[in-house]
Amino acid sequence: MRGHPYRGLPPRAFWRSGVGQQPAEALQDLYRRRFVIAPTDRIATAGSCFAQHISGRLRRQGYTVLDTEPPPRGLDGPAQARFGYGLFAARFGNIYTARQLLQLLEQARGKFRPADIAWQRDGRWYDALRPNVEPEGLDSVEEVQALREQHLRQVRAMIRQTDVFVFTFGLTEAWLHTESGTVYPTAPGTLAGSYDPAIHAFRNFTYEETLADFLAVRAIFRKSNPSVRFLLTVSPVPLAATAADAHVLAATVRSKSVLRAVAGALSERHEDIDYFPSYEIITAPFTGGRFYEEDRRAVTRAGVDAVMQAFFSQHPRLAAATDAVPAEARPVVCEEAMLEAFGD
Amino acid sequence: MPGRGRPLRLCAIGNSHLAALRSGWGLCAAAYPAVQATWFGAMWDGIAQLRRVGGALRADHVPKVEATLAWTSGGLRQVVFEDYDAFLLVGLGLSFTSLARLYGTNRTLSQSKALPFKRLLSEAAFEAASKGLVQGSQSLALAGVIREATPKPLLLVPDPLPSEAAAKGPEAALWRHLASDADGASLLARFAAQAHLAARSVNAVFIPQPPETRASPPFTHDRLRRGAVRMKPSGDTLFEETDIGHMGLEYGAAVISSAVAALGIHAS
Repeated sequence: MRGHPYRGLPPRAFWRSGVGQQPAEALQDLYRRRFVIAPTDRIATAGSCFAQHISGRLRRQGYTVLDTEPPPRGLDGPAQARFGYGLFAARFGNIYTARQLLQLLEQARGKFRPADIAWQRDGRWYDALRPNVEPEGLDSVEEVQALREQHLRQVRAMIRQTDVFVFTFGLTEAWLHTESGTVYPTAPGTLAGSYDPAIHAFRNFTYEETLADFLAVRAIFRKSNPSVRFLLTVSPVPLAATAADAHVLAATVRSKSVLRAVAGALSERHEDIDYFPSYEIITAPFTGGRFYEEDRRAVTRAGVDAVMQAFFSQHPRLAAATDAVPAEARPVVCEEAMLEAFGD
Repeated sequence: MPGRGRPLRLCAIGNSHLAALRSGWGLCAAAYPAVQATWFGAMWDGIAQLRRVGGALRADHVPKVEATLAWTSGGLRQVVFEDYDAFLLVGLGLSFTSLARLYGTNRTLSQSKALPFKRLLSEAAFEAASKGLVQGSQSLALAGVIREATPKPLLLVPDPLPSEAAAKGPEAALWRHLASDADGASLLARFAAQAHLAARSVNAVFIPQPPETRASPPFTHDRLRRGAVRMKPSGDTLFEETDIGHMGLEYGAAVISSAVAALGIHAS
């Protein structure tokens, strides 16, 4: 009897047993952790809106989730989210691209000086690098700078304290300050500021750029803590709008394909980087789009549940887990969705 | 409201600060023959255990609280809304001290930096946090429950401002700063505005601390600490000399008189 290389492979290796015969909500053996996250490991989260779900659920399951910029007493859950507290490891708002993340860390270390960071709207001032964390804006440019300085101190603390850095890649498309290369999380003129083609430019980051940017991020963390580990995901949330002269669906697939390929390459090449397939769970064709809301963009609660079930099958609930504060009590904050309001 | 010849039946519910009003009522009740007060007290967060069951507030799932209600009220184990004409909530975390402590660790760009602090906040975030301290208090939570059950008059009395002795206590730096810096007066005004607003949101009335009890801002006259007691089933016991947050019967008499006046009843 002749053998072949597929003989003896586990059920997860075959589509029929790995997917076809499995419920879409709970694929068995989809994810195998690369490393154990101990109860004492300090987890820092960052990334696009979808990362907020991961952060909240990890906290509820008893993991040590870093919050270097905790909310003041008195702010309740919705108010905390409105002011950007408790969403990520520091109050940096959503970070959509690897370049934006890299520039944040470099700025915190004094190695990068962003340009044009105070944007105006209706007489109020906004931090262009995190415009959503002060929904009512600030009184002056000086206040933007003072709050940003404080924020950068906490980002430095995050770099020092992190044992596991969880990052959700969101986009490859971004708007830049052309001369300095400063990457903004939102297009100038949407939440605040004004668009000037002589100053601002559109950029769609490539595979090579995104890979290099994240490797630079990794190097920064490892300099402070050589044993730091990384857990990467790709946001399954499609682009709200594209500026890439393409249909938004094609632009979404381009963007997510690049991000997925980068995440895959990083985890294949580096033992300290794990990839968690939340993107696959939500977007796979066999789910028939059931994990998306009616707008075919926002992820449903059932989708988040399916993702986290797969995650916690490998990183189990800890003794300190609590159901006291449901993750849903805290709204997900997503500047990018605001583009829909400006789409016409 | 009371019928002809029948006294106004006032239901006072509170935490440890209730003791001052209850003692103070002993001093001034004779001047208010048209008022009959019933006191329901519980320590710490015991009042938070009260649940509305039909036409009453009950704590029958927490026997310890139920027992406390009974001995503070003279045997009543529940607050039956129909049995009272007006409600008075005392203390229950409606506290300027909470706002002062928020200021102690957080500051806006326009506030003083003379006292060290941990974190800079935007004015909007500071305002939201201070508003949250008021609206998240047990007093406002219970007021909401009572308002859902009955349209009867509802008054909210805050925790007393700390005694002047606070300027020598463990948080002396904070209190001295608030006494000498314009931020102190500004914080007091912010607290009063937010408390009035929060009370109005549940169709209640906020009763500010009577002026005659107040020393130079932001303190209560130190002499009013005299006779401050803890309510205990075996009999009231005096607070420690170091306690700067609880007041005695003279303070309580001034506050209850002020509350009753807000109901349109004045001393005879």
